[in-house]
Amino acid sequence: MRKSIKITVAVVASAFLVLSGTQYASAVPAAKAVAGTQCDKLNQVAKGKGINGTDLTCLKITTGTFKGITYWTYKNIKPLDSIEFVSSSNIGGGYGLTAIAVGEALKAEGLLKSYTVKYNSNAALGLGYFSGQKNRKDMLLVTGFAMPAGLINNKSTLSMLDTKPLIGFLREANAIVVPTNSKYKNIKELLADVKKSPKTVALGGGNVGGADHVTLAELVKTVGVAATDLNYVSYSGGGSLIPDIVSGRLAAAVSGTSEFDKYVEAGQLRALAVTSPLPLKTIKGQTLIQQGIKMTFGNWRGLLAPQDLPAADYLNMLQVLDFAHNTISWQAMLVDNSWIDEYRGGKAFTSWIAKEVDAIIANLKAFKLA
Amino acid sequence: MKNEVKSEFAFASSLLLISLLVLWDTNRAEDPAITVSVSPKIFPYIVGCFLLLLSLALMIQILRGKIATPEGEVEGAPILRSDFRSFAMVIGSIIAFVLLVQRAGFVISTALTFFGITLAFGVTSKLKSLGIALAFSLIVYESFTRFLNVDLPAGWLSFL
Amino acid sequence: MMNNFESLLNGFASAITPVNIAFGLLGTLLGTLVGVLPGIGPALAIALLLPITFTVSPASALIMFAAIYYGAMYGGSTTSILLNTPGESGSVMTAVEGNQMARRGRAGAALATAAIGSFIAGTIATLILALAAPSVATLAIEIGSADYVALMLLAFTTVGSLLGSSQLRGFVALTLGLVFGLIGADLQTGLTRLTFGNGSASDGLETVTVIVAIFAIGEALYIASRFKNSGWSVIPIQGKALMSKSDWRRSWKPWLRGTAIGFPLGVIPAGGSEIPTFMSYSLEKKLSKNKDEWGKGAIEGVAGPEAANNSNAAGALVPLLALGLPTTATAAVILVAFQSYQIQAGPLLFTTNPELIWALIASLFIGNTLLLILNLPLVRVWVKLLKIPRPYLFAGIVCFALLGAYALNGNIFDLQVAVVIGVIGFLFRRFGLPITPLILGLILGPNIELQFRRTLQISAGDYGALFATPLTKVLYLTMIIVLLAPAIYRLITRSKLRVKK
Repeated sequence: MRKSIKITVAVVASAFLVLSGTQYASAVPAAKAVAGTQCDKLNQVAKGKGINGTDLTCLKITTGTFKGITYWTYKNIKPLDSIEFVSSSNIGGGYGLTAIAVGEALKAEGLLKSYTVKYNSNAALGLGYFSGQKNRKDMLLVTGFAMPAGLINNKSTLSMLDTKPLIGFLREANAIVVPTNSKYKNIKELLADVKKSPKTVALGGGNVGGADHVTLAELVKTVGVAATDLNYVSYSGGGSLIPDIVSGRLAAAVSGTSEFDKYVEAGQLRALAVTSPLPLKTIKGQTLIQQGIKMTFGNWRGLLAPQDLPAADYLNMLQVLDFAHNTISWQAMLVDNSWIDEYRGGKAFTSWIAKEVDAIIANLKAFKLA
Repeated sequence: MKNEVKSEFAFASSLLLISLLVLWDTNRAEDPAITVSVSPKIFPYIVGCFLLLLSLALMIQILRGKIATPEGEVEGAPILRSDFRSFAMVIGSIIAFVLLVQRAGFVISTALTFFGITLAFGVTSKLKSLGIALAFSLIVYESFTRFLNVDLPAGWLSFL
Repeated sequence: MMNNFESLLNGFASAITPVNIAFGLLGTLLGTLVGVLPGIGPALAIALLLPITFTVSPASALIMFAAIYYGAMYGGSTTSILLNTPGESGSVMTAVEGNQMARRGRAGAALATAAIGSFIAGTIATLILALAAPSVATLAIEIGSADYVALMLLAFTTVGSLLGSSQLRGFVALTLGLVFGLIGADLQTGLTRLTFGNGSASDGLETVTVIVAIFAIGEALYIASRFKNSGWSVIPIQGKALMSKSDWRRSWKPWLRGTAIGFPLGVIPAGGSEIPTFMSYSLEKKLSKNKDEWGKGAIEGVAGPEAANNSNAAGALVPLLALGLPTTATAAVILVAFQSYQIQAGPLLFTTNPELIWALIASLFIGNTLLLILNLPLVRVWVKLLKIPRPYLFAGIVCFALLGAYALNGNIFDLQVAVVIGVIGFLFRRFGLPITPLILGLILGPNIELQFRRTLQISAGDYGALFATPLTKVLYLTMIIVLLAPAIYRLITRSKLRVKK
């Protein structure tokens, strides 16, 4: 059932990409070459157009959805054998879902043979496990907005920059959901109750100081409630959050749309609001802006490689992902999860993440959440 | 005090020590910076106190003569004395594995541990045992690395 | 109802593929093997095979694990009857009458009533599981953190007070398990507890490592230092493994009663098959008409407990699948297998992975049938296994255990833990402490703390929330009864004695 939906989405997405006549459908000259776009002169080289200033070559692709067509790619990339994705939340959480989505997309494109996910309960344990393993060329740590807070609040001595950042590749909107039979019909009603007595409205979400917590902090700020006054119940991974919100033990819950979409569709949950700028396809619910609250929020996610990964292996991994990012399976993955394509690779991601971490921590300090 | 009573009393006292260790470690830990409804120190306190009371109760029971029946022995029958030479040989073989596995590799350390344990159990033919140990560790290494994709250290034999 | 039945048929359809059948067959053989050999149980066997989850499809692996779980119950009875050394804890009661039967030349009948009883109990219990689990899962959404706290406290009291030579020792074992569960970083606040600055310890102790070490290494140390020279004497089987008409007449009621006792005690987390097998044994003894035969080989004493331990194993799958709450060591390891397939056991399981779960349930029926067909004819082969010289057997078991502890994360810390836990396993056996409560404490300790805190957080600090739901009230009441039961029992028997005098 789920598989057939995925295939339909992939087909629709590819049809859309072809019909819309974008860069993907027609050949791109060497001067404008980007990995994963079409090219027409076999073996032509686009000097310095690839990731981190490497060369792109026009080659015939032998695997995946681009099979048999010539694309700009990297000359000597080796498909990945197996990858252990390290997730910093338990099963059903955003990190794990992202790992599975990426793993499946890479497999569909013939760029990865197999993958496993190692679940850890929080960022400190995830990064701790990740950096504790030595000489592993087959590991990737899934990272995101929640990680800096997770590290601070769990007193980790490690930093996200003790790794080799690979790519950042998506933004995910959050959804604020209630049980189907909840008395709250829109976000304003919920906020009014929170304002009246913040302690008695139990709100669930991910780890303390993570994207979900910050979303709530910014949301209640609009009605003048301090984040520290909230009754915020933290869960690691959707697996334990969902029963508590479906049954109504929590008044409302906040998390990434991909954690809730199935249950909203099944009628077990209702989305009061989504934090994206525009309404989303995968989850029914109005945006905050539509309900008169001028706020958007997007949680980003990316991949980090081990610190001791040799430069050649790092470059290969980076080039595989850089090529994968424009493939049909990858783009379908984004559409499938209502993720916004926000891609940064290699050096660009490394410098961005350093600034972003500082910004996140400053924001948390302002809310007194770290 | 009889020997059996003495040794069980020592065991119960070590439990008491563990409980004190739990309480001491909990007491010295700082409360977390973020506000939570229940401090992460409450549960360790409860567990520590519980173990303290239980080990005291156990000590009293032992002093009153209600000593345990070891597994596999008949209640009330005289308790067997442990043969600590064999015990040391088994635990020594295991510790050898812990020390060697990442240096010498899985095959060598497993063969050694296997051999050591058979000696501890009083194997008759040492040569045969060494042969079986090597065969065992090779077969296990090959089947786990080939069929189950488990990454086991090759160690000193990595040239093969 | 109809829906469940349809899903089950679909489950059969996906379970009966050549590959899955092959894995099921392999599982039954491996399960029987580890059940027959004293010292390794299903938990250890599955823990060692966890790496197959990287390469094999979830359905095949889970089918194999379930077959191992059931198979071990069969294998355990063989050892109990022929050797008087229970192969695993659920077969302790079987040894009492079963071994006596074997000594009197009735080994065949004892093996047959054990195998057929296991089959009948396993089949009935799996049927109940198939019918009940989905509705339990639907209800389970309504089970909140306060209910979990009560449920786990009940599990602690039953296990602590009913196992082992004394209530006190049971609780000591349980509390030590809770202490082990504390080790590591607190998940909510990151406060490290009992790690004493060791970085590797902040991840906590691996359940699998502890289970493997306490069973395999603990047993090897214990046998080496105390029973090295008292070898095994296997009683030869005379004639065929068949039951006479009177054996059948005497067996069928104990089978059904054993099934009825075993299943509910699996559903309520009571920590494994020791309690139900013991209860079934005492019940049959009480109901028996020829009491003088007891202790000299009464077939009811084999039929009842054997049925009870198999239906108990099926019952334990209910909280595992529906609540994600493992109540036995084996269930805890199966839960780890679920996780490596990104499957979260619990209320959502029947919504998120229905095909897999129904295939698993269907495979239980298949495994059970395979076990019946295979085991009686193969019993002589299994007995041969017991002739492996003990030095090699224990050396192999310990090496497998070390491999299991190391392969999980590939770090030395897990091995160091295994050594310490192995010594503790020795001490537990030497000083008569039961092992099951320790494991339950380790698994459920962090869980109960989490749910306890969550209850108070949702209620904004109101302790009344711990007793607020109807289910919590029922559970706490049961708990009080369990705690007082031994005392009440003593009072009653004492007054009876007085009356007699």
